[in-house]
Amino acid sequence: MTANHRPVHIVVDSTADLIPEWIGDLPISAVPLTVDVDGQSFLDGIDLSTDEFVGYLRGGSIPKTSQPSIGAFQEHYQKILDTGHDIVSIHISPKLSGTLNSATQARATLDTEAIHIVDSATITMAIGFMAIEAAEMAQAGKSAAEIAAYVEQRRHDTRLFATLETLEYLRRGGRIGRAAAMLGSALQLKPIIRIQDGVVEPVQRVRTYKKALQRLSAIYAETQPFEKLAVLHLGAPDEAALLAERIQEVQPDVNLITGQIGTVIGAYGGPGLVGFTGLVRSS
Amino acid sequence: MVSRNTSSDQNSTSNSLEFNWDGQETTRALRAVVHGFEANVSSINALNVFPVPDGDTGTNMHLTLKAAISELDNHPDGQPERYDEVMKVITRGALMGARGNSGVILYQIISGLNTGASGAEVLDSETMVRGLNSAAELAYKAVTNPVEGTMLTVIREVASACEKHPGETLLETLATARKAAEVAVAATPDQLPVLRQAGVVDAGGQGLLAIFTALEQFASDDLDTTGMTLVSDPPASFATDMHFLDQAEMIHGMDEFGYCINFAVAGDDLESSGLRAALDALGQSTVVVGDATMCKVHTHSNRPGLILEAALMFGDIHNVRIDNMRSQTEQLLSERHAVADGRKEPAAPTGDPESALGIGIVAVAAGDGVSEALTGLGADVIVAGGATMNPSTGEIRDAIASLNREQVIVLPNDSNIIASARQAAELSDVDVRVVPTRSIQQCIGALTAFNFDAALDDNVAAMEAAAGDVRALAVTRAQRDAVIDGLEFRTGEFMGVLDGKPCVSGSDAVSTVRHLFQNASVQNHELATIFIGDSADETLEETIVELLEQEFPDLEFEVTTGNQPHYDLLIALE
Repeated sequence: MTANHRPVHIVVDSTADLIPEWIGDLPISAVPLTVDVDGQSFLDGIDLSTDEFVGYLRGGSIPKTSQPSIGAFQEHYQKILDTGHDIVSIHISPKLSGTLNSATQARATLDTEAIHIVDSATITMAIGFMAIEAAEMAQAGKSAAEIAAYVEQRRHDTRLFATLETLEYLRRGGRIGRAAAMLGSALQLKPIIRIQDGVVEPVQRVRTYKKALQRLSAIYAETQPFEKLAVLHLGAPDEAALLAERIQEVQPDVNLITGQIGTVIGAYGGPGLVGFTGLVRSS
Repeated sequence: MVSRNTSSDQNSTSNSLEFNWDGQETTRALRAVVHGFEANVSSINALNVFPVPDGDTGTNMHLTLKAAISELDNHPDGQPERYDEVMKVITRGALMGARGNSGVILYQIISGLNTGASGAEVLDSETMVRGLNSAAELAYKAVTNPVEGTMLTVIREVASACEKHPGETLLETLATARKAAEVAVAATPDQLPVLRQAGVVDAGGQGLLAIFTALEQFASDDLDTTGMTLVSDPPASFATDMHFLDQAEMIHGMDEFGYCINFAVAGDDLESSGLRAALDALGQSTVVVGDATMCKVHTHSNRPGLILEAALMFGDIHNVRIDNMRSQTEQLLSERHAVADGRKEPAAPTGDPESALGIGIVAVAAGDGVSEALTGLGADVIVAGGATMNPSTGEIRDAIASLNREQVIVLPNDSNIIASARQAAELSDVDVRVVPTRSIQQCIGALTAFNFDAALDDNVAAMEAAAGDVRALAVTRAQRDAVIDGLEFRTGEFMGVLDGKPCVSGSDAVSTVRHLFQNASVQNHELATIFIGDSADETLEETIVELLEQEFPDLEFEVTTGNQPHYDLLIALE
């Protein structure tokens, strides 16, 4: 352990959908985004459970999300800097959220070179996985610069594929991108999307949920092996379990966790979202 | 060589025997062929294997011939003087106007004659033989899996007979050709079991026979340009073919006469020439076909009563059918316009202008609801057409060109349109692939499988595979009495069609659907998408959904208005 630099703390935003068990005693913390539903404001991942949130969505509520304020980042960073740590701050793709922008402006107000901000170019647990690896590197004594450089490489290994019950939430949220080409069908369709280079991309349409799950496991087979893998869903535990089972058939030794996405990502994916995300072996 | 003197004595056919055809004479011969063919359209249309509403071979061949000739009419340099020039022009016309499989093969035959014409100022026996040989060769090459007992066999037999017994004169060679065609057509049921089972000869072959017959008659100066006498008797379906709603009227529906009048005149000693002259004076496009005991009459007039009265002077009249052409034409036009308007709508709202640069998709469909569904699934342009109105090569090519994309996928959605789609692909400047979908149902599978980011080849492979996974169920009405695999179909009764093959007959739509589902091994599928057609009873939608949900609880159903013609129901089982 080379000690000629300060120890490093990893900061993410709440869209990393960190699963508490992952964190343990790793030096990692999250700044929450805000989700507004039915006139109430909630901190993502703190004030509102995913199940309650799904209830709102199923009831027809249209949520709004907002990035953390510059001040929220400023405060968070200041506390960490005060403990003598450098910071690697890893965030949701700036093509999907202004969070990274808030972080960058907060750093500017602090006038420090101790904060390294990295665009994850992805969302949800794919950010979480990278953050965990970064925190492990921090624990192993790597410098902030080394860790930031690593994450900037590692983000090319993130994969995320999901099927949505509807594209409506993406459309309403203005995050649909090229997947707009899949809108407008008179017949029911299950779209399959992916996150690529930080944006939502259309992959394919199928007609039924069963086919979508089949297709997702086929995509998994083409994409594997994964070093880190999560099956994610929003309010669809049975379907997620089914997908996990399929994936395990493809890669029996895979270490897989199943988790729900948070409220902010959920506001765009909508209930019924099922997919997988993770990190493949570095090429 | 000089051209035959067309004003020569009608009785002196021997005079014309020595004469070959220059460009102008060939043009006259071709016009006679088109006219002569028209009289055979409905009887050729009647020769369909399955009694489903399908591609009318007679109509398709006639339209292809007409397109070939109209290229001559529009020729900027006037009527060509040389035979080879005429062939060059009409080959182009046939290429763009080819409709249906028979039209595409007919184009290949014309193209072969054109190859044989190279350098020939006039058409003589030798040139004809040379042309027929390359026609046969090209026609076979055009078909991926040539099947014997079809028009391919007929053109090959004709070429081979003319090669073995070339006449000294063009007329002799044409006579040999006609005879060989007759023999070959009669033999088609022995070569193709489906024909034997249906009790018909091959329709495309019969079409070729009509062409060779007209050519021989023109050469022998025996042709009356107002009417055609078929050398062979009309097929046994002579009387019954009157019941067919063939589409012959649609193609000449634009003239000024409102009614298309068809009937037969029977008598002991019919004066067909007198009958023809009398009707000619009263109507337009008059065709009188037959012998001294019975003639079939087809004419257009605004006063059908006068026509019938005049015919009564010659004999008894039978099987009268009078159609209002104007309303038929309007219906066809409005159907086409509706779809054409639909194609102007953007395929889908796109947030990113770059998405316009991807692969374009052209699909053939009939019915507003069906077209809308395909557009929603990603088809960029719909070409109006389907089983009973096959679009031409030119129409498909224009649709491809309208997309302005570098890569285009064409979905023909009918087995009879695949060939013209392939031809349109060859004619296009951009990279065009045909995914050979045989039904709207397969098209839904194929479109759904389209992958926005995949390369053209990968998409074509995925779409072909997905199309193959869809089972195509359909409910229609039998167009004639028929027995298929021991199953009896009666005209007008419901008929269940599974993957293009009639397999269920029924007195009502609901029981037909039920049996159809039972035949389709439903347990392997999860979703049935049902398009309700224009001919369907209003209550059908509700009744079948209730029934099917009860009987097949594991299956999902999606019902939508298809407005497709002829088919009460189209069902895609995925």
